[in-house]
Amino acid sequence: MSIREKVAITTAAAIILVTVIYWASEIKAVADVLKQAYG
Amino acid sequence: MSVEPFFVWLEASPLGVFMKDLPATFATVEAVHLMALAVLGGTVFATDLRLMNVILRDVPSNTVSEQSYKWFKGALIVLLITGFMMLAGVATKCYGNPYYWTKMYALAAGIVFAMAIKQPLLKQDHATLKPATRYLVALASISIWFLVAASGRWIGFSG
Repeated sequence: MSIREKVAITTAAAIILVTVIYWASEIKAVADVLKQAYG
Repeated sequence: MSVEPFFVWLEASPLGVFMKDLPATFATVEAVHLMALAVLGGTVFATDLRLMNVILRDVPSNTVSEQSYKWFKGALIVLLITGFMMLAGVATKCYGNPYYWTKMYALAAGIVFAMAIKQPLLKQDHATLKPATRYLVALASISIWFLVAASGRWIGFSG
């Protein structure tokens, strides 16, 4: 596997991880608002 | 160093006044912005879903990515120009909006990833790449551009 491919895999994995964490925090914030309103 | 003075200056500049005060100017520029976003999204999905072997299986993956990248660059230039024009009209509002900054960070990451990581990788014969690499790169690309589009729309519904 070339260095370019290794860099691409690492960067891609980091981007996916960060976006998943971001969306998880946004979904949690929405869930908290709904819980406060209807919980 | 704060960038707030720049945002205040931009909104008061002739471009900011032009975007804010003339009827339908913002809407027209936003329409061009959204059309360019559709083109950019189309090129991203065409390239990435082909990399994942989901669509256009009868067309070589290298051909799809080469052809798409030309349109990607053109759409990106239009997006950056129209985006800056739209920012000028609502600069101070955007400065205090967290989703604006989310979009800017995601946009910067998307541009760097597309131009410095993904495109150099896709210049080589795709058959030499591991399927997992193709899949991971495509998924990361879709994730980051989805975040750019979603946070961009979110700006209008928050702050």
